[in-house]
Amino acid sequence: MKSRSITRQTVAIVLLAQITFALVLGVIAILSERNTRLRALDQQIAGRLDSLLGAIQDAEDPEDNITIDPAEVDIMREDRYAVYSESGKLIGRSADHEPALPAQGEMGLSRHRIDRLQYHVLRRNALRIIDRAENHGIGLRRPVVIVYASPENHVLHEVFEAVGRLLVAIVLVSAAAAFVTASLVRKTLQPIRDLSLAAQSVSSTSLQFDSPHSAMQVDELRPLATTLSALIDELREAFAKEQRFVGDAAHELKTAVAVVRSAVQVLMLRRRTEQEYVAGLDQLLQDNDRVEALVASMLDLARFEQAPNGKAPLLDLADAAREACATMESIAETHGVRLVVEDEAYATTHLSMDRVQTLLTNLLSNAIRHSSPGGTVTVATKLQDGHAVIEVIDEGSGIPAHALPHVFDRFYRADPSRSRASGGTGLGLAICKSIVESAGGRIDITSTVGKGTRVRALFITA
Amino acid sequence: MRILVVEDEVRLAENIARGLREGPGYAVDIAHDGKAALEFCNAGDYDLIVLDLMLPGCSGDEVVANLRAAKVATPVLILTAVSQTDRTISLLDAGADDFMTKPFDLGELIARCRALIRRSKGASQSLLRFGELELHTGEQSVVREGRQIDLSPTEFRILEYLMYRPRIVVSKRELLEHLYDFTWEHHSNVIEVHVSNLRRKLRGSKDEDVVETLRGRGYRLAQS
Repeated sequence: MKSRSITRQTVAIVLLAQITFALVLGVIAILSERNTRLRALDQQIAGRLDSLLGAIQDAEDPEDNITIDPAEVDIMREDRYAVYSESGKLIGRSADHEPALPAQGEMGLSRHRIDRLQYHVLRRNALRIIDRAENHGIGLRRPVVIVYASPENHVLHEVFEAVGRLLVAIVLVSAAAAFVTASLVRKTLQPIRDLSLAAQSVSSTSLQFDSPHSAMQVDELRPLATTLSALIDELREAFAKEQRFVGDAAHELKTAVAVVRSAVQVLMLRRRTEQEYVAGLDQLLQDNDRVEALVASMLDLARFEQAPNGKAPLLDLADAAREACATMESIAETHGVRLVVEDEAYATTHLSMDRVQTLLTNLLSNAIRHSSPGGTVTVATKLQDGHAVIEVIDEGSGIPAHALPHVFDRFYRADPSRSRASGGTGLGLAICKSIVESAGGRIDITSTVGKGTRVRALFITA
Repeated sequence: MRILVVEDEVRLAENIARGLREGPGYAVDIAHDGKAALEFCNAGDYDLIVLDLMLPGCSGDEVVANLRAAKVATPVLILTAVSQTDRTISLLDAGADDFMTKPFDLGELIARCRALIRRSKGASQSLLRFGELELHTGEQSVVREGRQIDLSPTEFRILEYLMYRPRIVVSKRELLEHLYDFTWEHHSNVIEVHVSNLRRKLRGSKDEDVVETLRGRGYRLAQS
């Protein structure tokens, strides 16, 4: 794509506008000047015609045999004239090589092209009065037709001469204005350059964006700068979160592997009895189970963080609850915990059975683990504010308030050593959260220490 | 020697403790988080701390910083999952003495612990010498006048502790603290029995005692 520069474009637009303005101004000036001059020319023609008539008047001859001495008639160099008698006889004409101006034609002012020049022609009937003593002072009246023509080209020449200076002034002012405009436009656009420079300094290794002060002062740029700044802050946080997760995951995995390795090496430290070896291998198997659980959880998390492919089939949450309870029944029994399903309403959503089972068994396993023998864990389904809701409620030990905001964080443990010893990977609730959120839902938790915990998942109802 | 293992993974802490107890025969206490670690350090005098970096509550960095701020010079061996050079540098600068990346070799961990303890006691070699007496911390062997002496683990640890402090009086209480962890019942007469056995076994050709008893104060190695 061809790149454009706003600075250049703006300067070009302003210049173009200025030139157009100057041109229009020039044309108007030329036209009005020409008009004025042409009107003046017409008046001059009338004047010259009158003076020509005066020259004819001076001829005493009563007949038409008069000749006009060109030297007597004061005419401009390129002006032409012709005088005809009543009978139509040419009685005088200007000295030139063209045919005489014709007698016939439009009276008054008209325009004619003669020999490639535009002429203003004035044709007028006039009366030659010849004073005669014998007529007792009564002059003889001899009507004549006078045609006088003058070319326009001088006028145009004069017009351009007069307007010329104006045009030079316009060009000079335009050039100065263009220079000032260009520097003003550059200055006005500086915040854009500042902003793009600041944006350029952002890279994947340095997700740091400081909105330039100049851009923040411009109304049109402020939203862009703020959005950019917010976006990069968000990115940085997401990036940091991912990095933390990778660090945490490495720590968890390597620690789990270190457990297995150190257990083998402790066993090999010296010769042991058969019972010691058997106990050691048994412990090793348990340690290995933890590695497996951790790897499985991390893969689950990676899988569930992506939205499912295609639309999931319609699912009755109560069915899912019953199936999950059936799966967890034996574990619940070992802990002496009772599982109850309460399906208050027919709540359905689009969710795959596989995902909802992972969600519910995770929640149930947490609930059972934190319940004391004799306790009850309830799975309730209901419709609430247009949402399909499933809740897992226990009467267990509860979670302290300071830990509640973090329980959905990956690898977070409210009580690290204890829950790890009891088999948690620290990923269970993070997996639940990603399952619910990838389905467009929401998950929340409320808990009172000593009373129990309630985890609620809200889905789009179907 | 008494060692504190700070590791939030219960099983790993157990294995390290077992390795250190069964290998060089150190007394080992276990803490599962940073806060507990600092409390343990306030309560007892340790010869070495094995510290996991990623701890709940108070991180390994903070534990090191707190210890050094409190002028505790105990050597610290860091266990870390991810080895990053800049992180390692900042840790060593903050007062850690050595570090290992998980998963580690238990044998190497034990060897490094021994080396750190040895260096912190001012010895540059694993062979400790006192007059005619030689003690090899790695092989856990004792030689007197060219003769191999067979000692029980506890006797060896008592002698090792004393040999790191030649000519310095070590009280019974100090010996108890450094030889037994919190899981043991403390009886000062146990020490007396072990010291008396040690003295008998070390008796050489000239029939003089290497371990001298100072009534009411403790024991020290006596120059013959």
